[in-house]
Amino acid sequence: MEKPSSWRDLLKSIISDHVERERIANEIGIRSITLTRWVTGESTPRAQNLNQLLHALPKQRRDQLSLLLEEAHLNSDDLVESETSDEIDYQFIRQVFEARTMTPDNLLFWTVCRKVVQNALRRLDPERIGMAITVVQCMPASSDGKVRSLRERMGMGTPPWPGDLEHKALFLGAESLAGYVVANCRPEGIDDLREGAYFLPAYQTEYEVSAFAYPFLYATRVAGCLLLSSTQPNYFLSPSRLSLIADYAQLIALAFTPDQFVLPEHIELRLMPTIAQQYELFATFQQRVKELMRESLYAGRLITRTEAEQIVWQQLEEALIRLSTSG
Amino acid sequence: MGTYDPARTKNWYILGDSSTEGVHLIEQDVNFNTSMGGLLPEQSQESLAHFHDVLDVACGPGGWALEVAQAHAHMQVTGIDISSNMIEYANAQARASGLDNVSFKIGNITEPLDFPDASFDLVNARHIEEVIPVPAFPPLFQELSRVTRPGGTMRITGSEWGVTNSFAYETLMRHLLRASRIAGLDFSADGRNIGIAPWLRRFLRDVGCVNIQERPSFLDFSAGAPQQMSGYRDLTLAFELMQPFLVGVGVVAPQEFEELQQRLALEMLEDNFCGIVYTLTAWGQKP
Repeated sequence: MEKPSSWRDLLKSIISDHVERERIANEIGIRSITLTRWVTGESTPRAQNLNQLLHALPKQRRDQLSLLLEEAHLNSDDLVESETSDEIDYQFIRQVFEARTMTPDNLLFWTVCRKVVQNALRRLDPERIGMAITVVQCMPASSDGKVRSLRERMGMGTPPWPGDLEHKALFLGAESLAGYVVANCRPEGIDDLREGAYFLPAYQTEYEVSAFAYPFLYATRVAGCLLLSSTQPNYFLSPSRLSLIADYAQLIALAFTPDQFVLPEHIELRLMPTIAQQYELFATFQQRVKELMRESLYAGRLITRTEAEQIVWQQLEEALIRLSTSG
Repeated sequence: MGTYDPARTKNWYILGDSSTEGVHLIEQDVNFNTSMGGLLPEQSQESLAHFHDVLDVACGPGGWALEVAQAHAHMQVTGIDISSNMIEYANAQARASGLDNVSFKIGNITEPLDFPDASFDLVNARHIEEVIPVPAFPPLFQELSRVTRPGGTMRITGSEWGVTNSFAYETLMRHLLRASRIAGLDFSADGRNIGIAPWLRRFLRDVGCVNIQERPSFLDFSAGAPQQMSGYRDLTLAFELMQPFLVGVGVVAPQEFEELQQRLALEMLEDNFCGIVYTLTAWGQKP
């Protein structure tokens, strides 16, 4: 075989194998067309992408590519200094600790979750090939002390998902991947939702091809999970990506107060109705919140919007469970 | 939440420079990008191709600069801000993205900028009316002109903070305008508005820019508008974070503020709620 004369030539030969091309693109978190563009010179990878490309190759190929990159003066100090692909920047972790220390109660959850999810989206989907990240929380326990459903508290996405997923939030129950992960207190993923041959409870939402969920744990209790969806199949197989997800989930767990974590034996999730049924009911949400706030204003006992929302969500949970059991 | 004290914090952030404000500013950037039609919607493809070195002053947590770097790989974007918290935030976002064409550093835009003459093809300033006092504008524009290359573009965006049919919003805004006037952050003759918009062209003209153009846009957060809920969250949070400034400057008592905030949350959810923020972008070339 002729020796490749440049790193682009070598990459061309590596990705001539379609399966290998898909695998490498998936590992780096880019579209496979981007690899082709690197080969043709249409674009040049960023330092971090080159680093990830090297990590994605078998040793022999890695050494070869490394040499050719050096010849092309691309294996710069930047490459050596760039952070390893399975660690969160420590400066960022410190910022989250500081946010947790300095943010008042009423803004803590919002601040920590959004700060971490903003960072996680940039890190886990740097080329914006399509990812949604949602923070899912256990609803307060019902009168029998059992948690019956989960609710998507906040979420953010890269296209084709909208940037803010809060208005697409759903209740999730035993029928969902998040429900399974919370009930079992262990992470799980589904590599390709299109195949329909997975053994975990899950349903495919718009744009979603693969999914992964990681529980928020504290002192053997659980508060919910971090739910990730990708437009790509097998996106959550990479060990370095899974390691990052675990760390991001640990950081988000800091947004919860200890009393929001519940013992696993208190999780008794019900089946939640379909998305369409839920949205139909949610159409009344703003009206209910508004009425509650207006009543409290006239009664002279102010409740915050967050408090009003929490009451209405609990009313809606009750209605959804009734709907589910009656149907 | 602390108090508003520029002498201590060494910045004029009226909402503070906390983590919450960092997150809030990133989301506010997204709202403005949407309402303005993009990151640089008024610039032609030809102009964009000529922008290689870009400076964003008072960049906050870097929302605009990061998006520009992501969208235009040929641009090298530098963001400066007086707040070390914001710069740390921005750098963390840049590292997470793996972007090697954006960097952030601490810089006080009320002092001479730490860049050589003619360093940038595009110099951008967005909503700086909220973060530096009025007398600092003319010398800042002299500095922005100095660091812009001949033929390069200077671009400035400012907003008038909304007209609504909410009593609580209008009352809180009146308090904000009074407080801004006391703190030296408003341009208007009588304190009835921020008053930045008519100044933008003048700032550019006074430093010799040519081909000055303007582009208006608006953010509609009325009931039923696509940006209603993002605008709702942005503004209710902004007022919440503003409490130390408004109370600290002495324009409103804590209890009155709390009641207004409560009423605001309700009024902005009414079916007939109407609200619009006007934004103007002006840009011109350095000869």
